[in-house]
Amino acid sequence: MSDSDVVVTGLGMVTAAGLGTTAAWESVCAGRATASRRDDLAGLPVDFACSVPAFDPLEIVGRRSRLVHDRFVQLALIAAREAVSDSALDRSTWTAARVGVVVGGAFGGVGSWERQHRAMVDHGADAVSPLFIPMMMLNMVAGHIAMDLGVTGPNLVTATACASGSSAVGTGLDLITSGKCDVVIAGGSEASITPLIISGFARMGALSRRSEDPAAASRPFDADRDGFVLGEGSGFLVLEKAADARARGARKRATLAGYGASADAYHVTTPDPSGKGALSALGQALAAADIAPGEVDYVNAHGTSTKINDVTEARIIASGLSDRAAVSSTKGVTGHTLGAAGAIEAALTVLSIEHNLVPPTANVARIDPAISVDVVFGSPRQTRIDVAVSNSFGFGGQNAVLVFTA
Amino acid sequence: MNGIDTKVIDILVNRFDLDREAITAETTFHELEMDSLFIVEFLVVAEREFTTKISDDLVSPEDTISTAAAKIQDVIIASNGPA
Repeated sequence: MSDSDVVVTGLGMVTAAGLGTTAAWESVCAGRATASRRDDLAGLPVDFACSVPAFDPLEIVGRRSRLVHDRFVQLALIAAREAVSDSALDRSTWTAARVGVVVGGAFGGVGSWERQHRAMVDHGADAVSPLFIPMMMLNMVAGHIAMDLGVTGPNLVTATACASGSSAVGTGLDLITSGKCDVVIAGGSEASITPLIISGFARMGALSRRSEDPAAASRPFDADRDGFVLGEGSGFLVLEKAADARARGARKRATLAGYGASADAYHVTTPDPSGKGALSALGQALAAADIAPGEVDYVNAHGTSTKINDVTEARIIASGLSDRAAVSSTKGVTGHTLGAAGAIEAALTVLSIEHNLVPPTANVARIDPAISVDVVFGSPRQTRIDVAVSNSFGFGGQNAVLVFTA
Repeated sequence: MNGIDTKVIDILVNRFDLDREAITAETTFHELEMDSLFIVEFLVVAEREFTTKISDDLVSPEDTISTAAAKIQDVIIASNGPA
């Protein structure tokens, strides 16, 4: 490890698999599916999702949270606080102006948006809350984390759809290597399980219709997969310079060794079948990490459980890496958390390296015969993981790839 | 405290997560960390509770609970016409 490396010293997570990193890791390793029906989706073409277990915002987030925070901000605050606490950094040990916050998200406060729109249609313009705009705006998530933790460095959001969380973590790496920050609290957050968003994705044909068995619906790389299951959640990583982490005796959880980003410039929703854009992002990330393709031990795949993503991604992995890389998608457990996915999966990838354990891809009964990579399913695989890759690909053709090393 | 004072405090406790013990008739909205946006939101709720139209700028952060209650009472009386 060189002084100029950027290391991960804290993890935080809120997912359908539970509040907290430990709960998520245990569920993911057990392949425990979380999708279930929701009352607020009853009667819609898709009536299930991967929902975060119920919590009391007053107790967990703080006074007035329900008045000022959209749910995606509440989830982010819980996960960011856990990550910072895990890093053992605090106001007394950091220089606030040198601590950045970067948060990925796809939709922002869409739940607040829908409720306020309904209030306006039903009761007129005066029924719209004056607190609505600051609840709904995507950038507010980074602003609230800064206010909560008292950090005053660069503060921004990344919006690259389903790659947003990875873009945020990668941007955090860039902020540190460019010298702008000593520490970056980087993550993603999404709380978009609403009737409108579900209806929109259902109309696109992107969602699984396995209403008769929701728990088995998210099955990345399986021959019988029929779409993704919408999830919600948040994941955060505390990134800092290796030299600083060592000097304060921090626990290094992994090194964030490389980040690559690109655009397909091909189609709004369909990934470029040639995989050029994704391979470019993967190649950049490996080059930045000074890692050869044959050195990658594990790929935490984007693996959404849609027909087209999984087969295209498998082809990309097969052509960009050697066949010794084990592959799994943790979305079988968490569902697809859109703008949070890349950050949640980055945190899970760090845990895979720490435990030398590849989590299984949940719900897989039979691998799609068109997929030729080594997909881990059934039970977790204990194997030495020195190098791991986390892929994320967003609508709009936006690709982000992270490389972590032990 | 009169009935409107009590109802104002009820709204603040039930809808704005404030501690009842922290509120007296002489507490200002500013002291309760109720900024102008919160006050507009409070007045939206008060409109429904008192079933009367209330202007967005009726109450300011420096007003006390009893001042706000008195202003709301004036609005209610005006909207109902002379007794």
